[in-house]
Formats: sequence, structure tokens, C-alpha cells
Amino acid sequence: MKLPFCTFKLKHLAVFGLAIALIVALACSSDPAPAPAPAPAIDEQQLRSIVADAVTQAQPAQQPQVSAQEIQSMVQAAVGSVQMPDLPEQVSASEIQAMVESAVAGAATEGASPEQIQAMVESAVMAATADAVTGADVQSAISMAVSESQAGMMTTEDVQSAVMKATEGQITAEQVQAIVDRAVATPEPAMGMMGDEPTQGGSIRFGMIAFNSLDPMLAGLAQAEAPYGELTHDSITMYWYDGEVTPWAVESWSSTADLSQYTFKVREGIRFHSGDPVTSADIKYTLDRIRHPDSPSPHRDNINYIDTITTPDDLTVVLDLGDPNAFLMGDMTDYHGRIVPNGVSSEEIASAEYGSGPYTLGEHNPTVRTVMDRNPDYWREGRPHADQMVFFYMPEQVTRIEALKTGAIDVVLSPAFESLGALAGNPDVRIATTPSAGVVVIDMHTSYAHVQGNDDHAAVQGANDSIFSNKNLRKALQYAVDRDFVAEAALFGRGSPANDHPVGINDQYYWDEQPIIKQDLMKAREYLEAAGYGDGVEINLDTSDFSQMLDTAEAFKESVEAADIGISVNITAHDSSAYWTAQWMNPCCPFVTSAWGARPANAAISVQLRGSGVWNESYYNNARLDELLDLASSEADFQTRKDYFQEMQEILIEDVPVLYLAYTPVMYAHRANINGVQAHAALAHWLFEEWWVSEN
Amino acid sequence: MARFLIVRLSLIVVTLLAVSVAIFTLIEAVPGDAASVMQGQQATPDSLRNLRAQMGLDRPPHIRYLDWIWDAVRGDLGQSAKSNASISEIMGERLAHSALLAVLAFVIAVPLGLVMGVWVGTRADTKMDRFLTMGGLVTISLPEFVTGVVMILILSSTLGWLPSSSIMMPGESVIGNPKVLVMPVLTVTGALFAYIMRMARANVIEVMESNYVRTAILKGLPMRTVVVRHVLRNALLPTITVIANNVGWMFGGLIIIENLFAYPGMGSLLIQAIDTRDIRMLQSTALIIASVYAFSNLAADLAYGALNPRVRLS
Amino acid sequence: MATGDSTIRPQASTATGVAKVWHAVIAFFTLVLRTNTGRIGLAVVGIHVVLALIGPWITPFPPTEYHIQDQYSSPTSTYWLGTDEKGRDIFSRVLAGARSIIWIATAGTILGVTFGTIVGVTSGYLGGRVDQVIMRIVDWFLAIPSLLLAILVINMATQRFRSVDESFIIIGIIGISFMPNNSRVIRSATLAIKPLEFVQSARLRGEPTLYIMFREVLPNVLPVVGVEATIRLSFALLLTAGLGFLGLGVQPPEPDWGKMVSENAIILDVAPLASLAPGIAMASLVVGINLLADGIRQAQNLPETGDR
Repeated sequence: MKLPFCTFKLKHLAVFGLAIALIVALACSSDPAPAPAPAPAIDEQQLRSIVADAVTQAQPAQQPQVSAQEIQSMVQAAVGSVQMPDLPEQVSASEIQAMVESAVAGAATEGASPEQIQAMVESAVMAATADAVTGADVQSAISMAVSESQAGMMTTEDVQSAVMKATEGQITAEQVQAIVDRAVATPEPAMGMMGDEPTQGGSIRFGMIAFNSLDPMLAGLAQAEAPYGELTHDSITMYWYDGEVTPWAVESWSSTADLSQYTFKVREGIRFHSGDPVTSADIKYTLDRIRHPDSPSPHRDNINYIDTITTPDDLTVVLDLGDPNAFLMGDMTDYHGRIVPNGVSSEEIASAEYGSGPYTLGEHNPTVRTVMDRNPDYWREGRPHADQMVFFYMPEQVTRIEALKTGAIDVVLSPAFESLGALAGNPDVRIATTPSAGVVVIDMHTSYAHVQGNDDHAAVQGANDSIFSNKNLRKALQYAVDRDFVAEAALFGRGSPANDHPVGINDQYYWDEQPIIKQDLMKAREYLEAAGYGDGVEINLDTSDFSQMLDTAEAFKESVEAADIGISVNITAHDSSAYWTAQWMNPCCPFVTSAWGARPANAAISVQLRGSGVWNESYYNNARLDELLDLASSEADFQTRKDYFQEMQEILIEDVPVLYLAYTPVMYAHRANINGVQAHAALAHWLFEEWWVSEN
Repeated sequence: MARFLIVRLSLIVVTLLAVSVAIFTLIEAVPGDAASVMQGQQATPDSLRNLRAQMGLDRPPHIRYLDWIWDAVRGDLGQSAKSNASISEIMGERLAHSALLAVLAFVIAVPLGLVMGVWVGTRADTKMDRFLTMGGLVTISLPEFVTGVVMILILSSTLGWLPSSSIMMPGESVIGNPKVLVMPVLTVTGALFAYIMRMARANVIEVMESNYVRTAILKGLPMRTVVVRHVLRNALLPTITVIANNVGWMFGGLIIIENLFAYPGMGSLLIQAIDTRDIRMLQSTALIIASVYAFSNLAADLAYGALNPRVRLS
Repeated sequence: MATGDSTIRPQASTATGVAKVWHAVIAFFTLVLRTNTGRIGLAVVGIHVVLALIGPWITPFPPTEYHIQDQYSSPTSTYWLGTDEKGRDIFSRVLAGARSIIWIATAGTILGVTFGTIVGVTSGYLGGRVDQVIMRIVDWFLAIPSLLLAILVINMATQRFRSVDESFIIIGIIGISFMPNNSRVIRSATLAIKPLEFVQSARLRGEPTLYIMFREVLPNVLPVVGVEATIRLSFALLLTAGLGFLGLGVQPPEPDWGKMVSENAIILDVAPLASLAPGIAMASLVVGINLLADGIRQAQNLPETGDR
């Protein structure tokens, strides 16, 4: 384990602390059932004395002269202690004491009253004495308390409840440790050597492909609209860097035990750029626009399980779902669901910016550039850092890369893999990257029977099933392809092999003991024989030059044909403008490539593989899989849910409706003077407000 | 003359109409429309239907065509389906960029080509002539993208004098970035110059062999006078046709050159319009190119008539 | 294959099928070999054709084979021209790319010249209203840049006629887009022949129009057609390569010169030969064809044509 603290900026540590704490809090809050209890870390006696000490110390700390820096270093120390390689599973009393002290001291400077501090610490202790709490839990809960109260984002009440949640005991010491490790160890590429404080100011220039619509609910992924949405609007919830749902415009939520009704509490103090406060009505309106039957938003089908939305008061939204759904909060992070003010028409939204986000829209010329200026009244204290964000529209990949090399622009989001060779030698360019659950796949149409008579699938009406309804053929392909080769060749060494299901390796529902599929030509031959293609088979693979799909197709062909087991593949590359209408999900082409951005397990499986899924690309229909999805949706217990997801992964590996070949990383290429850039693994999340510009 | 012009102009109008119908039909026959391209992989049947309705793409094709032509006739090219930006605004800028490229190339290539062509034409079958004709042939044969790549390799990668593509901050004009013009202009100029030189040379040789030039030479007129007074005028005629023809050719070549250097002109706009199925944008772009071609042909005919009294424009 | 027996026809041939073709081939080579330009051109084109034909037997590697460990290799004794971003051998890819482009360009030219000849002879011979209408349509074709036409038609055709190989579609495109210029040239050649005695006498004999057009007029415009075809071939190569450059060439992973240039332009700093080598191959082939055409032109004393 590395301890590069000396190079870390202190504020960043606070951010980490906040992140950790939020993660812990949320992981538990959406998961109210108690887990089996490990032994308590320390006994009640010890804790009591610690707290007594802490509280007495807290009184003198009332003199508010503890500097921010001191608090930071305390927190740093606290976090550092968790980093120690020989950290015992269960922290010692003295460590906790130190943590609580620092927390209290920190909280005190922000003018929290002794009563409040006392309450906080008490609640922490109460929680700590409950089952299953470890020092790490307490520590992270407290770090959060500190950074939150510092940032002035939360009331004491909030802090208390967060601490409560964090310590409710759903999370094991190991998990907390892992989260902390990940947060702390995630490289901060640009700031490596500098260790400066983030500074406000400067402008960050992006090379973007093009801009379509200002309306967030129509945002396309390949274009600049999704980043624009994040910069100028607020989300209901967001994913934090490690993939946990984080409160955003909605600061907390709760659900009924059966998960069929959710109540959102809207964060107070968020204002639209017009000055109007963001209220529950705006959130209702935002979701209603997307859910409307005439809505052109692609997000509509993902959230149409919401039955009714009501707003009992200005800060409360109540969502009634038809059926239980444990994953609502994840769906609320979607980039189409940026909050727009109640009552503003679609025409207005398409012609101007109505958001509440960290930037306001300045000059906007969709073929030239878009300028966004810092919103000084943004609700997140100290954010955003950069004064200005500018998108330049440069449809040609080669221009964007060239402009980045010369410094005419600062950032290219998702640079083409083939350009990395050209960027690698440039000392002024950095690549921020992180593995993600994004994945390149080859779909095999398994059966059209279940969508016959469904108007939404006009193309397949009357079509006969393809040769891929033959499971043995699918199995043969599963074992014929060398995934390591595909990951290496199609993703230029930056991919990692996937295992025929869309659940990412870092996903909480990833089945840890799953058998990893390796190329096995013996098995492939057997299955080919069983499929009735002992003499060989010729397959047409339709693809398009989009998101590494063509490279994947070529690598697949190369791999399968080199295996020399009688499978030959003919690639047809189509114009990407026609591909998604004419080839993809069309019985003309039962064997097609596709590429998916990172989605959490439930969302990925429901949209890609459920019989009625919107993008059920392989026309897969498995009653048990659908049932498991429903079960998982309505299941409150994490472990049980995880078991359901394990069975889903078993089914998919066994049945192979889709060859999930390789996970694609998220990459941003940026100039070295852009700091705080951390690749975000979740789909369409960047957290641009954390980015800042340094002198050189 | 007036009648000639009226006939020709009305023919141009008919031709442009035919071109617009042909392009509209072709792009309609290609799967995918602006809505499906906008939503790409995230399209669902519902969202697509609703977006099409919102964008007016659910109307039958002939209505959309008539709608466009009605607007176009009134001078309103409409908005890009993609970004709602005004097409005439976008195109104005792109057209200016392409025109600058073309004009620069012509300004360099035409006088140079003519002078060199006449010069070697009067020295047919000398070593210099053979060298230059052969060199010209090689230059003509080089595909634009090969010349371009070689130039990038030398001028940009090796010497580092020029940016390898026309990076220009959007909103900036080419005028402020003369560096980005160098390689595209040189690429166009190379082939154009060699072509004009060869044509001029061939015409000069032909004229030199004609009876009246022989007579003039035999009469003892100084060579310079013969060339200026007799050869030049007659050799220029066919060359003008060639130049006019090359205007059309060049807009085709621009598609590739602009693509290679990512130069923001009409050629790259055209490809973008096809890729995004932005029919209005495509129609307008293609029509501009077709009219440039048609009018340059007309101009060539007029110039031909002016220079050659034997041709009656009727 | 019996030929008509009009005695006044200047180029009446009494030979039959094979001998006639042989005759034409001999005539062609004599013509080409008469000038230095033609000889150099023939040599260059000859090398290309031979390499394209024997390519599959002499490529060091299969052109689509990956060598991931050796990506961006500079030229070595293993990889004569280095490798691209997937470690594929550039030399093998350039060799393999010759076949498709030569085949597509040649077939496309033949098609275009055939169309053009039929249209040109018809238009020129019939004259009058028919001529006017045909030439107007030809003008319309000419008003669309052939590259734009090609892009649109290929996009449409590859989607509509999925079972048709892409190279046939490109051949068709070349055929269509070359027709207008060809037909103009052939038309003027026809106009020159039409008033000649043997044509007029055939008319007076009451021969059917089609007979006169294709048995009397056609054989006499064939030399023009031949020269035209040679010139057109270089344009066909350029168009094919241009389409490949824009990504509308043969299907991947099969190598395509134009596409190799464009897709490897981004790694020009790292592996310059990946796009330079196919570019040079392309250029030398076109130079060869143009030299060949120029040689014929010189030998026959034909003027240069003005259109591209």
C-alpha cells in the first residue's frame, strides 16, 4: 500500500472523506436489513471513556481558531490510519479516540454548538456500540461529518442521521477498508507532483464532436450534450467515483419496506440560475416530462415503472412505483433526468438553458463553440473551480487529437483507442483512465417468438429464428474465441476480458467465484459437432465503425478463424448512421456487434437481456432470468439480491445469448495543467466541478 | 446573347432541380434519418416515433421535399435538423473557407501553369520539356490524399513547421490562421498546376503546327511576337474550358482534401450532412456545389465566345 | 460472330473471335511500345499486375494476421515495411490491396466505357431530339460531383442490396459516373463518322438503325474508345482509392489502399509507412497508367482531353 500523502492536497482528502462517508451512509441506507453481526470492535466501556474525553476537549476547541489546515491534517491522519498495512481488523481504542477528537475539533471550528457536537459524538458512540461496527466505520462517518459540516452542506441533524446510518451495521470492516483504499489510492493523475490546492479560475477547453439539443432529456451520448447537462444542471442523484449512488439535488430518501414507494427530500438552497429555488415540483416535472407518453426521450422506457409522483410539500417528492424496485435511486442518476424548472415548455428548454448546475450557459453556437461560465452561487461550497468551460466542436477525431497535442484545447473525452499511440509520447498530455463495466459485445438473436405480435419490434414480425437459436452453436462460439486476444487487439491493450454477462467486476453484484471462460477448442469443437456444424459454418458478422466495434469484429474474426475449427466469419461494416436502424436488432443481421456504456448490474441486465427489455439486442427470452430480475428488484436484503444476481450470471454464462467479450475502460486525454481529473467509471458522469487549472 | 443567357440560365435551374430531386431520393433511400442518427443506439421505438413527430420527419417525403423547396425558393434554407442552427449561417462560413482554398489554388496554379505550359510548348521535345511533361504527369497522377500525407510527413511531422491538420479554433476564420491553409492549398495547387501546364503545352504545340503560325514564322516575325500575337490567344481557348471543368472537379477533390486535413469547408460539411442525415443541410450544400459547377461552365462558354469570334453564342 | 461484309467500311475485319482479340492486343502493345513514355508506363503497370497476381503466393504473412506484440514495428527483416497498430504486416497488406483495387477499377472502367459508348453512339448517330434529351441528362449527371454521387449511391445500395458484394456496387458506381464524360467523347467521335460515305450508304441500303449503329459506326469509334478507356482507368483508380479513403471500400479486415492511408494517418508520427506505403503504391500505379495512356496518345498523335 502506498502512502503518498505528502503529495496530496488537503482539500482533496476532505473530498475523499466526504466521498467515503457518503458511500458508507448510502450503502447502508438503501439496505436497511441487518447483516450477520461480527464481534464488536471495542467494548462499550472504552468508547464511553473516549467520548467523555473527546467531549471535554471539544469545549476548549470552541475558540474557533483551529485553522482549516489543521483540521485537514487531522482528517488526513485519520484516513491515514486506515491505510496502515498492518491495521488490525478492529481498531484500537486510542485510534478511535484520535479520530473522534479530530472530528470534534473540526466540527467545532465551523461553529457547531457543544450540544450539537455532543449529540453527534453520542450518536456515533451509540452506533459504535451496536453490533458490527468497526473503527473504520466510525472513522468514515466522522470524516464525513467533518467535511460535510465544513462545507456547510448539511445540518447537524443530517450529520447525525448520516452517522447513524453509517453505523447501522450493514457494512463490514473489510468493505469500508476496501472503499477507503480505493478512494485514497485512485491516482490523481495531473496533481501527482504538484500538491497544490485547487485554485479557482482559468478556463478548460474541450474538443467535442458536435452538439444536438439543449434539452437534457434528449441528450445523446456520443455528442457534447451529456457533458453540457452535467455542467449546467443538477441531477437528482449522482454516482460517486466508485459507483455508489450519492445524494445530489435530493439529499436523502427513504422507501417503504416493500420498496414500492420512495420519498425524496429535496436539498434546500439549490437555486436555478433564474434565482428560483429547486423544489419538489421541479423534480416531479422533470420526471413527468420524460415519462409522458409522447416523450421523445430515450430514457422513458427505463423509468416508466414509476406510477405516480406527488409533492406533499416543497421539499418532498413521493414516488409510487407499480411494483417494488430496489434500484430506483440508480435510475435517478441518469443523464437524461437533469432537473429543469416546473412548467417550462420543451420548446423553451430546447432554446435556452434552464438549469441549476455549477455553470451557466453563455455563448452557444452549436457548430462552433459553447461557453459556460462559473455559477458563483452554486450550492456545493467551493465548487466549481474553473471559471469557464468551453466546448469547441471538431467533428474529426484527428483534429481533436492534434489540437490537444498542440495545446489548442485541454481535454478530449474518450479519445479513440488508435490515437493513444500518437498521444503516448507527448509530455504535456495525460490520459486519465479507469476500468469500467462498459463492454463490447456480439449479439446472437436467440428467438423471435416472444416478440411476435409486438408492434415495437416491427422488424422481426414473421421472421424465422436465426441459426443462433441453436444453443450449441452459441456455446461453440463462446469457447472458440480468445477473449484475452480480443481485449488486447480490439482495445489496444487497455481492455480486460469479459465473461458473457454485463455485470462489471467492481459491481457489488459481481459473482466472485464465477468460472472464467477461456478459449477451449476441444469444447468448441464438441459443441460445433453437437450443433450440427461438424463440417464447419460460415457466419456473417455485421458491424460498424463506432466505439471500437469494428476492431472488436476484426479481432473476433481473426481469433476464431485462427483457431481453425471450421468457423469462418465474414464481416460487413456498415455506415454507422444507418447501422442502428437497419442492421442492429433486425433479423437481417442475427450476429451483430454492439457496445455498452457502464451500467449497474440490474440496469444492464434489464435493458439488455430481459425478454421485454428495451434493448434486448439478442431477442433473448428466459423466464427464470426475468423472474430473478423481478425478485431482485423487490428484495430488500442485499445478500439475497446478490444471490439472485449470481444465478442470473450463471444463466447467462451457460446460455450465452450475447458474447460479452471485453470491458472497455473510460479514458479522458487532457493537458497536464488540468488537475483533479479523475476518470469516472459510471456512464455519462464526469464531475467536472472537481477539475481545476494550474499555471502550467 | 440575351437569349443565349436566358436559355442557359433556365437550363441551369432545371438541372439544379433535377439534382436536388436526385439527391433527396437517394438520401431518402438510405436507412436512417436525422432522428435515428441523433438517438443512435439509445433509440427506443417510442422515443424515435415521438422525436420524429417533433422534428416533422413523420410527414411523407414528397411533402418534406416540397416544403424545403418552397422555403429555399423564398431564400430560407432553414435550420439544421441536428442542431437547429441556421443553415445559411453555417454554410456561409464553410463556403468562404472552401472558396478561399479554391481561389488561392487557382490564383497560384492558373498563371503558373499557363506560363510554364506556353514556355515548354514552344520548346517541344527539348530535355526540359520532357522533364516537365513527365513531372507534370506524375503530379497529376498522385491522389490528393497521397500528396497530403507526404506533405504532413515532411512539413509537419519531420520539420514541425505546420500543424498536421487544419486546427482552427471554431469561430476563428482561416484568414487569421494562414498556416492551416498551406498544405490544403499546396495539395490542390499541385495537381491543378500540372494539369493546366500540360493542357497549355499541348495546345501551344498544336497551334505552333498550324499553317498561320508557320506562315508567321516563315515571314520572319520574331518568335516572341509570334507567340504573343498568334499562339497565346489560340492556345488559351481550350485551356479555359479545362479550367472551368476543373472547378467542378475541384469541389469533388475538396471532399477528400478537407477530410484529410479536417479543413472546415463545404466538402467536410457535405460528409457531415450525409452522416447525420441532415437532409436540408445536404441539399443546400450539394446545390451550392452543383451551381458553382454549372456557373463556372457557363462562364467558360462566355469567355470562350469572347475570345473566339467564330463561336456564336446562340 | 460473322461480320458484315460491306466493302467500303474502312476497318472491316474478316478475322474471327480469338484472332481478332489477339490482333487488337498486338496492336495495343505495338502502339504502347512505340514511345518511351509508353514503355515506362507498361513496365510500371506490368510490375503492379504481376505482383497483384502472384501476391497471395509471395506475401510473408496473411494480410489480416495480427502480431499484437509487434505493433508499430519499423521495417525489419521480418516485416519489410513494418507493421500497423494491430501488428499486421504492411507489406503483405499493400500486396493484397493491389488485387481489389485493380479489379474494381478495371471492371468499373470497362462498364463505364461500355455504357458511355452505347449512349454516345446512340446520341451521336440518332441526333435531333433524342440527342438533346440524352445530352441534357448527361449534363445532370455531370452537375453532381462523382464522389458525392458515389457516396450516396454506395450508402443506399449497400443497404438495399445486402447480398451484393460491395465491390460490385463500386464497379457499378464507377460505371455510372464515368458514363457522361465517356458518352460525350464517343458522341463527338460518332458525329465525325456519321457523315462518312459508308455510313450513309448503309442508310441508303435500308439497314436497320441498330445495325448501322453497332456494326458500322461502333467499330470505327473503337480506337477512341480504347484510348478513352486507358485514360479513364486512372480516374477509376483515383475514385476507388478516394472512396476507400472515405471508408467506402472493400470490407474490413481486407486491406484497401485508400482506407489504409486514412485510418493510419492518425499514427503517422509512430508508423509513417502504414499510410505512406499504400499511398506510394497507389501513386505509382496511377502514374504507370497515365504514362501508358500518354504513350498511346503520343503514338497516335491524339490531343489531350479536357475533362476529368
